[in-house]
Amino acid sequence: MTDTALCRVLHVDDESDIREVARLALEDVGGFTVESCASGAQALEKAPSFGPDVILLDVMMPGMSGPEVLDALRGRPETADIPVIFMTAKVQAQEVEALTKLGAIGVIEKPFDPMTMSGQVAEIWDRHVVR
Amino acid sequence: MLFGNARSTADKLKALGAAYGAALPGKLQELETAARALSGGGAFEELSGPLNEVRMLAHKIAGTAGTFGFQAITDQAREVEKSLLAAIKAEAPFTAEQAAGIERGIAALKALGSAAADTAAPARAAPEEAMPAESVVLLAPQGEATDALAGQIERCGYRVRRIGDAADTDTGPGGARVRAILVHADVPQGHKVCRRLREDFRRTFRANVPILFLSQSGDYRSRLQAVRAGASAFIAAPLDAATIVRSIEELSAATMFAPYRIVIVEDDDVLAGQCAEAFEGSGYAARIVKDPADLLDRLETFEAELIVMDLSLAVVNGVELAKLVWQHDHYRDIAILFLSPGPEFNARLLQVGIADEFFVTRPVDINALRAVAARYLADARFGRRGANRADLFPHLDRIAELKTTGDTPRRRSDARPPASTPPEGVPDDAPKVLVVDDDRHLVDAIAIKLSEHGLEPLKAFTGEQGFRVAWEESPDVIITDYDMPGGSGDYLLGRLKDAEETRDIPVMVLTAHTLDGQKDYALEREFIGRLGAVSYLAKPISLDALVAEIDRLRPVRSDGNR
Repeated sequence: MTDTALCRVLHVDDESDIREVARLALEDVGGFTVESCASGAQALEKAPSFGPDVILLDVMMPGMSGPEVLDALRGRPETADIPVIFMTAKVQAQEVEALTKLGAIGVIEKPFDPMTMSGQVAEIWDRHVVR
Repeated sequence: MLFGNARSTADKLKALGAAYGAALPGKLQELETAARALSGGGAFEELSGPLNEVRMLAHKIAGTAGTFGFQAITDQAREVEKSLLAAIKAEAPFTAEQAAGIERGIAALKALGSAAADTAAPARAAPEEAMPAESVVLLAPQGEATDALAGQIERCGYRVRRIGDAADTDTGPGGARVRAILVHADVPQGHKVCRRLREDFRRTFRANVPILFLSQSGDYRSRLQAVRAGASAFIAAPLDAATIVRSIEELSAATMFAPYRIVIVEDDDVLAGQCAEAFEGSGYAARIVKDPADLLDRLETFEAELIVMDLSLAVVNGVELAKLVWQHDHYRDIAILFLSPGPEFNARLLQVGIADEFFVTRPVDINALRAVAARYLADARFGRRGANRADLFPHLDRIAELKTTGDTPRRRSDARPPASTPPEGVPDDAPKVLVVDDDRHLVDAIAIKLSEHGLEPLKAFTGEQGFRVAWEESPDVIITDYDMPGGSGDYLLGRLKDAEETRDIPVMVLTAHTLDGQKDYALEREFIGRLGAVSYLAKPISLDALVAEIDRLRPVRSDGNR
């Protein structure tokens, strides 16, 4: 496996239904190794030990919001360089743009299709690596 | 382990979807409970907390439901979220109307949620070999609600053949007898498709398949659509399979298969024929009663739902006839639609506070008649039975009185009334000139001048009245004022040009608009160019000039004389 292969995915969402279906989508369909977290705080705790290639971060969560988690990740040396993909039930197009500007490598719209989600993640990852 | 027995990712997803669907009503209940804090509205500062909380919950549902296959819930939740977001951004007081809008949105979400939960519930296992011998065609928008409904109906023992939209016409009965066509109000052009389907079934299988009309709302518009679809039954939300199946069973009673039944009481053969043809063309059963004395006999053998009653019958006042029908116990629920003698009669009705929506004005616009008839049928079959009687019966005496006092001349196709008999000294075949002006003195003065000149004057004092007289009497020339209350010259010219019978009658416009006594050419262009008048005279007019102009305008008769 080369350095550019996407292998480990950390998924952060406060909703258990979504965590379950995303794990299924990423593990069964995408073949990735997945770790799920129910909150931003949990993600900050797990990320250094799990060492994900990418973090999928829900935007609207109670407690720390997705952008706040991203900010905190960037503030810590061990997680500062981990690429982040936001997941959001976007209401307006400019929100997506704003999220990208925060430093995420991509945005996946919710609701997502479990059968194609891992493909979306891989595509965003590939674009990021080529850059 | 959750997926211990699952065979594939698809099965696992299905199981997750079912679990989510089953949990949906709970999630939506949570949303509704949170939204109660917004009820009635209030200052933004006080409500910003609840607004954000409800928005967050709606946002979560919007972002999640679609992943599990419940896209309609995502869409609806997104609508609710958008409204909340707008309110949050505005930072203005949250009004009671806004709160009510959110409540309605959440109620719609809950309805979708119940349907989703039904779908998610494990279906009662049906033995595969026992394929139902009877089916229904379901014409409804794609979505969870329809999926759920189809599933429920199938569990009641019918095969369901789904048609997503009007373009999808692959509707063969597939070996099972089609018991009903179910059409949902939200399918564009659904009424046309289901009528076409029914015709196909009728032709191919000699079967009269009833149409059941399904609607989320029981409002008037929906009931009207049902009539247009030719539906035999109307089912409003909640659209549950039990009600639908019960309705299908009830429709087996032969009488309910019958199309809408209309009796036309009209002694004018031409008009009666036109009405009957229009109704038959819409798939209704229509019977003409020419002699009012036959009406009750006819009703005994033909169970009418609607009577179209001319108020100007030659031998009896239509109002009296209506009273006779409605006083009869068996016929009190029949709707009666009156053909009014003209707009002026309607104006008199309005003056005494009787809504003229119950009257179709003569000359009868067949499309308007059909549309109004559909409204009556919607009430009679799917709405308040006897509503029309309840609305009108108390006013019948008043209507009869108005009818008698303001009796108007009958149509050209009937015997001509004394009102249009030429004044003394005017020959019977004198050319007729209609004068329309709200200034009665001017009309009288012109009439005298016309009579002296050997012309037969006809008078009208409003645009509406002018059109009616023109339609009834076919004058050789029409002279009309432009600015009149009760239908301007503009209106009159428009109607005259629209009607085949009056289109070619030359019209001269009189107007007080002048430029220092000179002709206003801009106005002339307006009257002659746009409105189709042939001439234009500025007031004050010279009666001699007027008569000369009339002579110029009168069409040349076949004998070469004017």
